[in-house]
Amino acid sequence: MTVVLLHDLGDPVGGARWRSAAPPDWIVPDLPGHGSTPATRTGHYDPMSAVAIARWTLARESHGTETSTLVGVGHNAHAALVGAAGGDCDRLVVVDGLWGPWRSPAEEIDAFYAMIRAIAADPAATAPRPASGLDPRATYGYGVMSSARFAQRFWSSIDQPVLAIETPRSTTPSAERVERAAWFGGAHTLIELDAADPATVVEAIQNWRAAST
Amino acid sequence: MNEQEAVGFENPGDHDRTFPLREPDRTELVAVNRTELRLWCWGDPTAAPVLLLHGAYDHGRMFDDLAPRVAALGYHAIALDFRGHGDSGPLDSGFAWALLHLDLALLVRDLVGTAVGVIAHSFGGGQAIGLAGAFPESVRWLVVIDGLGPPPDAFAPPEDLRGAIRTNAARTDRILFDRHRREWPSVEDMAAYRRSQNPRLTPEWAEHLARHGSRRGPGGGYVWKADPMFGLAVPSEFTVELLAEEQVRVRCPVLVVTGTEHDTWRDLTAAQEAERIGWLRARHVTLPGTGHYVHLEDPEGTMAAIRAFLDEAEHDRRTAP
Repeated sequence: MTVVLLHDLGDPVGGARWRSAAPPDWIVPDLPGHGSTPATRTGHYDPMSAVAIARWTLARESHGTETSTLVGVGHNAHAALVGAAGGDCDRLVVVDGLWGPWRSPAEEIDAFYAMIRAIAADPAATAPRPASGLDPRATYGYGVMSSARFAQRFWSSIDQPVLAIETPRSTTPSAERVERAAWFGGAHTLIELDAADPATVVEAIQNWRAAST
Repeated sequence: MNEQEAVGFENPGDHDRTFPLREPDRTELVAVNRTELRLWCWGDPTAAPVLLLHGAYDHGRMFDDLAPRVAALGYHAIALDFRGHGDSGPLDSGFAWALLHLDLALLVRDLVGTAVGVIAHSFGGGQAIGLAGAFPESVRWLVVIDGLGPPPDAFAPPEDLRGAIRTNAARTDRILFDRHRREWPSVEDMAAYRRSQNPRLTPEWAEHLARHGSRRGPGGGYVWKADPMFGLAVPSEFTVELLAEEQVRVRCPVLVVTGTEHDTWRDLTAAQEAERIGWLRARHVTLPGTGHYVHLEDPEGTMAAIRAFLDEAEHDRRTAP
């Protein structure tokens, strides 16, 4: 029973908070540019790195036979979704990963341009990448664009059991969470928590895994 | 590097002409945005700068004909190799659209030091449009050579999304772990492959692009310089509506130059082309008898269109006729 958790992009302490809360057999790496893991060689962040790390870790640890669960938090919920669609895990958990309010195309491009202008204006984000600790560049998000139509099409391709956890940090409109969770192609469970701390989230994941075994 | 490289240059419709490509006057490898970018430069470095941006999988030496002509107008012509291309730094993945915008913006701001004119081909056109939209203070004017973006159906996610993700994952692992790059026995073979993909390229241009787009591989053969990670990305939304929003944000003067002939990567209908030219509020010039590589097939026509455009766009800046 292998569990790999991808912490949020830009988490100031990488995976440390999650490692403290998770059972010892969970694997919670510091993703590139966080904690003890150096930044990517390009010094830029995209979900593919996290997807690849999840894929390699799951393949190594589950030996292709054990049941595997991939957990993606925040921005890295998208990475976990890609991993699940690629068949890297048997179960998927997305924490605050149902996207925020949908943007119009104009709003999407405005946000995209604002993001790259903000990076350009931040000397720390364009300075040589740090050898360890949080890379300031990682705090700007991935710049992945989405829409209701795209998310529905993408998520419907995921047929593994999915647990969607929404915490107070979620930007998904409350009224849309049930509908969005139903876009997954297989069995799905939506849990809305009153707290966002890792211990509460890990407990919810453990309960779901136990109930669905 | 001032030597003249005489290349027999056959142009469709002009088979007897020999055109000398001019080696860059200078070349630099500059540190930008946590990587290194290769710059190929022609003309007076104190003159007004013009960036020349190549298409996907190409490199800056595709401008060995056009750039000296631009320099002769009194500009400092700077052709770059995009990150993941030519001699510039590598990529981690093909999800690099924003990253390349940033490379360009920081190059202009921190190294060029003043707003630039931009002449861009194909994929480079999309990058230039993003630069002009996101960093309008960086771009004085823009010439887009057959670079208005793919047709609408190219934006649709693949029918078999899971299969596409698995294929990308397998390719990523092969690139990173097997470290296997296809080696070609000779540059001539690479040029022949290039012509099979772009049949309108002359043998001389295909050889030129292959020679400067390749390097020795570990097995003694040749590999393409273009980073194989370039084509690999995660699923994300992009639509014609988003493309339109990018293009309407360009406020500087724009010239669009396109060909008339069917060609690889020249796949917009006339109506689609007209719609996008409208979003850019661009002047449009078509050069008869050319395909996707308009500036390689008809450099004189391309330069005539650029000169006429610049006469209006910045008549007070130009110092040469």
